[in-house]
Amino acid sequence: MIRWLRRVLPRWHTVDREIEEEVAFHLDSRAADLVMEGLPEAEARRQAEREFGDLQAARAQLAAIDRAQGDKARRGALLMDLAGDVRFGLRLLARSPGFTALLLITLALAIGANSATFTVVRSALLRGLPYLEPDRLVHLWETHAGGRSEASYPDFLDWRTERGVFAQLEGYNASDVTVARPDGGEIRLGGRVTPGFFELLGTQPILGRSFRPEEDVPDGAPVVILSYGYWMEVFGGDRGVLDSTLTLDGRPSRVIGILPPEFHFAPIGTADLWLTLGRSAERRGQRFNHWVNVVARLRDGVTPAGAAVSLNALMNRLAASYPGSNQGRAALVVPLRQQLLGDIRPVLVALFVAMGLVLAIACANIASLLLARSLGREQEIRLRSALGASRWRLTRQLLVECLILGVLGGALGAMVGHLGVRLVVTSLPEALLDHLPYLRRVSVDAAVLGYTMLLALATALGFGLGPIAHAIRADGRGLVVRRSGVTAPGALLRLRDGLIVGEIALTLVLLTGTALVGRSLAALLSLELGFEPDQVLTLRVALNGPRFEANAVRQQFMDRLLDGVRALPGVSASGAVANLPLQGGNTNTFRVEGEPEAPPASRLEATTRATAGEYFRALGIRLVEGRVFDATDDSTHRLSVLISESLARHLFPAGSAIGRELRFYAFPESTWQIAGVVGDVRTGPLDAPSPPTIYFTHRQYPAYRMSVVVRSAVEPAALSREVRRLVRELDPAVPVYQVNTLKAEIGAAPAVAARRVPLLLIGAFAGAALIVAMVGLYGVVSFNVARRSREFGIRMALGAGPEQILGTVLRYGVSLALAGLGLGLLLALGLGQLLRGMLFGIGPGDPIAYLAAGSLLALVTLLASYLPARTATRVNPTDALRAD
Amino acid sequence: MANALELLQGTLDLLILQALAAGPAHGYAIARAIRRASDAVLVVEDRALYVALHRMEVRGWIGAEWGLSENNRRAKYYQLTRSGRRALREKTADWTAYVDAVFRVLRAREATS
Repeated sequence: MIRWLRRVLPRWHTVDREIEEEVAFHLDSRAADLVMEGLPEAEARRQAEREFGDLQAARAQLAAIDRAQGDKARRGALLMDLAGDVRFGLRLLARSPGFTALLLITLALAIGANSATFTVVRSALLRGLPYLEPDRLVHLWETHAGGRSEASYPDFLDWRTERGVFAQLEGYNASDVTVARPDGGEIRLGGRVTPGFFELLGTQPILGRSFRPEEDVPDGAPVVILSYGYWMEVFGGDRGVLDSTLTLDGRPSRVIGILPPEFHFAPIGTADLWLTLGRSAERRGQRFNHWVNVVARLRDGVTPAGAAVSLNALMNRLAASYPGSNQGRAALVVPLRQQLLGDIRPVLVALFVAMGLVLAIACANIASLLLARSLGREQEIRLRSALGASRWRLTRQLLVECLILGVLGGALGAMVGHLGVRLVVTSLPEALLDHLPYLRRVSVDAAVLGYTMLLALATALGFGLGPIAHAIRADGRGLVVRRSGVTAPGALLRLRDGLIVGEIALTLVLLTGTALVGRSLAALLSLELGFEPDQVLTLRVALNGPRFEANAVRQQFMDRLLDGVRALPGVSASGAVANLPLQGGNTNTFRVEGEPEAPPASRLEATTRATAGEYFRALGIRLVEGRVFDATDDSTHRLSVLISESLARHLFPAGSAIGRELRFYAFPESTWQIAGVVGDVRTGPLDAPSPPTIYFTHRQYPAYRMSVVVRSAVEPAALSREVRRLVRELDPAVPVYQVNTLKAEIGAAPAVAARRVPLLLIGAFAGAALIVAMVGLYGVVSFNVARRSREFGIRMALGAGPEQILGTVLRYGVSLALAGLGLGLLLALGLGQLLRGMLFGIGPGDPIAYLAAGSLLALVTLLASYLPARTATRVNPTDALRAD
Repeated sequence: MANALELLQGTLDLLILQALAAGPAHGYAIARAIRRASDAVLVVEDRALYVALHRMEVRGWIGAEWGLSENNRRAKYYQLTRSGRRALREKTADWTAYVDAVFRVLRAREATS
């Protein structure tokens, strides 16, 4: 190396000057010798020049040699040389546009898809939580009979005494807040927290201060801390807002602080207003009322499991002291990271698997394309090698070609990746993005992009250079005169066939996954819902604040609003409900009067909902028996409930439910008479069976927030304008929010989103894989046709018909496809198990999904083999024979 | 120089390689060495010598380096590379075989005539 440098470095003179100097030295030396022999000076000079020959011609000839190919690197003109290689490479790639396009598409898809996915996954999973020492933060839950719930306030206070394991323990709660604005009421998401909450997470207001303990008492002075975003949006970042007053839920509240812009607490990600935990003294005293979410910081060296042991020992003591509320309850300690990411883990796993498969397929395709190309070029390489091109020279040329492909593929891949990240992010459910708001701003990760490009390039180099190295080693010795037809070692051909089989197999896996999830989604969307979602508009109203404290005021407001809506032109029914179907809601435990009482752990439990107006008619819920609520069901009459059909069957298998009485443990002083039985409705998650449901009327069981449902053929936007106007006329401070059609609400249901997102992503990957695999098969069959064109020519000359040639080629393509399909089926059966949690209404071995995926792939592979096969039948026998 | 011989194609390379086998030398020294060793029978046009030198440098048989001559002038010194030594061996063997063969043919003709 040193010697090489010594040789190269002093040589920055131009070629001409060196030649001039060398020639001059020769002439001077010769003339000097001739003078020594006795010639006069001038004569000696002339003789020396005569002996040398034509000086001008010699200089030109030497310069030409020195500038010739291969000598340039020695002179440090490597860059010039490289430019030549690049030009040559580009010309070569442009000469086979098909090959180049296929390779670039593959590279772009592989690099793009992978960098997009990995970027999102990395941002979501691997990025640290933006809190102080996040690994010591845990989320605490109470558990009972397999379910988990928030903690009761007294339990929360008792947990705080576990100083040995927890350094700090704070509570929070999410709740809507009605903000009075000049143009009416507005609902904003609020976070209600204990005073030390921000300190626990390692955050403090950038302006003002945090909460003080004396502010978090049942009747403390209302104070509020604003999110940075809200401060900017509403007050334009005006510092004067500090100490000013906002009317929240009808109460004047003083602004005491502004949070930093980067602060974000995922469980209440979009909270704009932060208040103290609040609630009534009564509620804070109830051990059976579970409403506090608890986050805690573990002491140094304490593990979540260790903390759980201490906490459960405490829970056992509490159960002994308060058996009525705490019997059978335990505690659960979950690392905060796991708590925040739990929901999207299956999506990410599915993504990861799909991504890995596509990457494998793409690499196999790059490999097989390059293998074919280098086999086709073996002759050229041997020829050039025989003509004196050095091995390094040939290798460098190929390296440059790979680099060109890499740079072009990388640039395209970066673009695909950029679009892909946007696709992935926009296809994620809103709720998830609220949890992980930094995903909204995520852009392609340069490190990931680089890594994927390297992987693709390594594949390209490995498979592009391997066979060529073989050709170069063979030097000119293997150079036989073979002008047509392509030769290839059998082992390489078999490798290439194997790669295609693998590609087809992996594509089948992805297609099957798509079909399985797609079928689940279709099954989900065609479910019997128990109500008629078409032509129903829903919007929510919140009746908060001092004005609505009395039950009668809220009931009156609701009745007047619904009467007004009913009177609108085109409205056929209007009603309201505390929680729309599919949105879950409160459950209550109860018993049937006259039947023996069950132990606490096995009490009857049902979802409960307050309704108003003609709710059942508006949603098209069937009346099975008895009657629905009417004007007589008010506070002066008998307490009545409606129950769902399956609950009625469960409670009263023999007789009628009508007239029977229920008693709820939450308000044990009164009994409720069953007035009617209505059809089952999916009140809970879409992918769970309809839960037993009990309906109340809002006149006997008041609600603070209700969703109005309006059945009407009127266009939703115009209708919602009319309803808003009615609300404003009744009370301008009441906020209207969550305006939507019921159909769209179903589309946004978590069970649907949980499948639509992976369906979209796996589907996109499957599409990419299908394209790539088709390209691969097309390439390999075409190559096969080119290799055997002479054989086909001969066979046709001997009388074989086009069908026979077509059959031969198709048999080859189809046998590869069949091998791939068979292998893919085995893999898909294994991987189908991975999707089990995402499936609905079908098993992981659903034959229709496999059949659909398999036939699509079979069709595509048939097409990919047919096109080159048709070319084979067009071989002109005389041309094929003359070629040799 | 009247009875000087024209060089056969390809033999110039062999002569140069042979001259360099003794060690690095500049172009003029090589020309002088060939002239002396052949008692001025073999005439090498200097231009052809330099063309051959530059060609063999490109081919990698010889390397070049600028150094100082006997009278302290900058001069381009050539020396054999590993592949140059191999080429010298092969060419010498080829040449000897060639000459032997030609001789055998010539002797055979002398014997029959």
